[in-house]
Amino acid sequence: MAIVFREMQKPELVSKMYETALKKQPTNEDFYTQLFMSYVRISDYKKQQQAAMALYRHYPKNAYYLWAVMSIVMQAIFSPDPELSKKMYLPLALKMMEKLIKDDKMDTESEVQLYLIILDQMDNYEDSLKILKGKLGDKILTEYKFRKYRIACLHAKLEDWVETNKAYKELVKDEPDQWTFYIAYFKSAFELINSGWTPPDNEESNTEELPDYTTEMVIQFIDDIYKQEKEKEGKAHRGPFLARMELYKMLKQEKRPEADAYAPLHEMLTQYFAIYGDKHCCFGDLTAYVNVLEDEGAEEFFSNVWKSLDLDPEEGNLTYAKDTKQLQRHLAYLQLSRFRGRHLTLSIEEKIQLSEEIMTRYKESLKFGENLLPTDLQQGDVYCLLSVHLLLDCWQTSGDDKFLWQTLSMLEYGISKSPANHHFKLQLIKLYCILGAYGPCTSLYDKMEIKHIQQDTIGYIVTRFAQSLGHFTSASSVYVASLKFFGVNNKDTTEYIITAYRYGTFAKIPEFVKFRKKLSNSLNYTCVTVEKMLLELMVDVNTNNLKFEDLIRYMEIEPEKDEIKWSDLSDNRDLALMISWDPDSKHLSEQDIKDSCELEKDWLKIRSLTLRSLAATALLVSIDNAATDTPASNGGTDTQDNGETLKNLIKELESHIEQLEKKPLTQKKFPLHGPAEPRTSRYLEGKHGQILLDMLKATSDINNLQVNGIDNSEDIQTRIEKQLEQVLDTVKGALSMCQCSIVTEEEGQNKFNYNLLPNLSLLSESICFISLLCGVCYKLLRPLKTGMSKRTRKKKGGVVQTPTIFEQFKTFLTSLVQCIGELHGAVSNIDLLSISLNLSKLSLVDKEKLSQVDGECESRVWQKIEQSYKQSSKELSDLLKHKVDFLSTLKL
Amino acid sequence: MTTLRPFTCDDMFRFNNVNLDPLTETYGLPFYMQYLALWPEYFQVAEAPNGAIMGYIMGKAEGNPDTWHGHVTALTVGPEFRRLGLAARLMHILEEVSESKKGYFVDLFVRVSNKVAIDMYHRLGYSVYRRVLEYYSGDPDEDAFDMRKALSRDVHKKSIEPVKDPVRPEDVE
Repeated sequence: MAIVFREMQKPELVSKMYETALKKQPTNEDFYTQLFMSYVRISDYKKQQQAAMALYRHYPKNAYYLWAVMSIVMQAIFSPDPELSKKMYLPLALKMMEKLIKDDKMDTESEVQLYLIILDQMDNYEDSLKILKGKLGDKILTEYKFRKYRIACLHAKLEDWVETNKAYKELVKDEPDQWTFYIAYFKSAFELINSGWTPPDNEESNTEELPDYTTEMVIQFIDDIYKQEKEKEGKAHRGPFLARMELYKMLKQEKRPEADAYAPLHEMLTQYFAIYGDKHCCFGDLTAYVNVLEDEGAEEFFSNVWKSLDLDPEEGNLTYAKDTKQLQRHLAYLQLSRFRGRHLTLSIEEKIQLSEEIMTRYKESLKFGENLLPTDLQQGDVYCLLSVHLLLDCWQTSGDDKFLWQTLSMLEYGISKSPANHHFKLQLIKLYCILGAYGPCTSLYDKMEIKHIQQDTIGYIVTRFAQSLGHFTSASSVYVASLKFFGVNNKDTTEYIITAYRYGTFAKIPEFVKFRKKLSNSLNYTCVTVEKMLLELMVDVNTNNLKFEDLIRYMEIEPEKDEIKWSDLSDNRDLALMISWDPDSKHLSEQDIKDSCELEKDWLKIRSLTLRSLAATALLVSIDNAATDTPASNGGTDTQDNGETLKNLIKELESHIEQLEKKPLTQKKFPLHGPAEPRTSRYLEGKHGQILLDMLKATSDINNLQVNGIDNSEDIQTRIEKQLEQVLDTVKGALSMCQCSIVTEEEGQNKFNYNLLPNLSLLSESICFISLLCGVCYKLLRPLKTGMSKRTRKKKGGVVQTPTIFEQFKTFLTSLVQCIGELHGAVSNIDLLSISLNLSKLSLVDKEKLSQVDGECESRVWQKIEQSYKQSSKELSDLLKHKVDFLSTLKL
Repeated sequence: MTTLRPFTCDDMFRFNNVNLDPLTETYGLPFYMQYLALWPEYFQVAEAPNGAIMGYIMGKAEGNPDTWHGHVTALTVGPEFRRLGLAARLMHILEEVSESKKGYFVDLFVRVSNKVAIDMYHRLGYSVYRRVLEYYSGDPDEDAFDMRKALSRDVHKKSIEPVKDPVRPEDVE
């Protein structure tokens, strides 16, 4: 039964079951254990504690005692009230552990670890230190050098810089490549230097025990380590070399005169390059220091490195790298040049030239990968990517799309030579989506084998585009795949919290719980959930007899409730995924990442309010409320509540959209390697919010007629008329933005209008929502109409004026269908195949100027784009056709 | 320049650069969480100064009292961070942890075709203990070498005496 409840995702029933079972067998150990576990699954820490204590009373095993203590620690960590944690939970947990020590029962490593966790939570570092240095510390064996690391770390937390310095100095000597040790060593040394610390007189004789408290001592220490490493036989670690540069950087930052006496940075960099330039990581290692160079030093560094590369042209011809080491060094040179901003100052012509040169080198470098395994990367792939990035610079500064087209062909070329390289795939997905072609992305994405947690961290690159570029079937399948991951994850991962209790790996328990929270509050997950429901409303409703209101009930949407925990949303996107060697000034910044997250939330709010408003309207006409045909008599509480909910949601959506219109951030553009902007600014530009709001208001008012009766409602009817007119006007406005050709000629050059499809797609979505609402209005009006006819018949001969609303609604539907017809025409016009455009002859690329790759890759790109547009055109066209069919059934 | 530290759940949000490599498998969450819950000291990650994940090792302690040993489940290093001796350092930690747990040896499985890896393990003191037939499913299935290195507890290095005949995967404990 427990398994069934778990599979049903009703873990709370498992607890109930064991609570009942224990009433029958109050000392059953297994039942108690299961009860404890069941509380773990529902994160009821208090009940966990009680169950564990009850277990311990019956079966006094240390393990059960520890479960109780850990349950208290969990209450402390996740308590909304930090005071309660500090004053009650943690002291209690500590007391329980101290009792264990007093009774001489603390034997295992996990017990000591739990004790340390508690002290850590209480910021009681002194006692932690005592434990670690004492006998109990001997029990900690398994984690690699844990005791030593932890002791050093605790000294730092206690701000005991003397001890910290001594401890980290030892650690650096011991492991001269561990970066965090250097950082902590420097920090402690500069704390001592800046506070003017000097050794107490009586200790002067024993110099070995002293920390490094002067700049000279620090320089000396790092120099010693560096010399030792340099003279060592075998491979030298990079740590000591980089530590020297780090120290220089810190001396500079602290404005210490010693910085100038130190070896010049550009020399250190040149030397580093000489040793490690042929390693892929050279670029990443040096970025932090290349930026600190003064202009002169930078000149010198780059010119030294260039000389060392031995790639000067011979008789006007390029000299190519003779082996992969030389190749890698050249790549590192180019990466660092770009990072230092040396590409920023190039003119477009110069960039084109450099891009061409690099691409030529790429082709030449392929000889090193002749027997490449399908899982290996070409050695020179970075050439291709750099060449692409240079042309993308040109595209962004000039706005001339020929550069964009050219990069696609180059990347297709790269991927044909190095199919395992995910950077090509990511870049291609990005660029195809900019051009409005989602089609090629499906296979690119699939080939990266994105699965499990990657659907959360990487999935955003496709979930943002599939639907908005009119590929609804693909959208639906990526949504389903993502949601499946989240569903499974929620059920399965609790079991490992239980495992951690069983095996006493207590430190992992809060970590697992926090991790699960991050996943269940994932921003991407929430967006996908909402988008998927909206997509179903657009595509599935009113086809195959699926009623709007039934689908809403099936989706279990309660429109009055905002299910999204906005403040807990966790942005799990991996935004470091797209490679870039751009200088800091053009790189995706922390602020950009924050802004992007905010923008995503803004868009999510539009979508979530749209969904909830639509749901509220569906519930106005659900079976319970619309069963009777007479107006005014059926105004059950449900209808009124839903009507009220709808009004509130309209207000909320209206104010949200107003806010966004005024918000400058909405228009923000991110660097190309950063996340795509959400659809908000396009949505606002096309006034899609207005379209939806007016239609929702009309629906709400029509509901009003239905609830309060149609007599004496002329004012409302006039208002409805205006709202419907406005809907049509705004739709026509958005339509006019879509009625242009996909290829236009500007100053004798062809231009591909890739903004057209996203606009068509947005308008088609709005049409879908309007159609849903038309269905609701129809269902609200029909009983009114029937009621009117009955009254007319009764009043034989007497004239009952038919309210204008019915005629208005009919006219509205006719005009709407006409608009959809026009939109359908525009949608058909983007099917590049049917309008027999031969893109390859459109000369979007200036062949004379750009010649990085041959025609074969170009035609591959065109073909993919043609196919993709054909698909979008078809899916949008089918969608619109369904809407027209549906609207034509609405005859009052 | 590297920081080695225990792997934590949050690293899963950022290990893409390593895991997008076609030879590195991304598993479901339970797989990682099982290792974290049972053998956290065996799951170590290498991090670059800018926070990028360079590679990681996953392993466990297993066996009967007389075959108690450390096992390498996965070892991976991102393409940019290869040829830096990182794998060797990660392996070293795993061996040290296995020493502290008083294991007799450390073992691992490797595709017989993966020459680069086999050479590296040889350099680190591992030798082929036996061949496991069709250990890796695929098209076609591929054999694995079961490679071992004796730890200090196995004074006479009995645990690594090679077995001549290949075994079937079901015979591997």
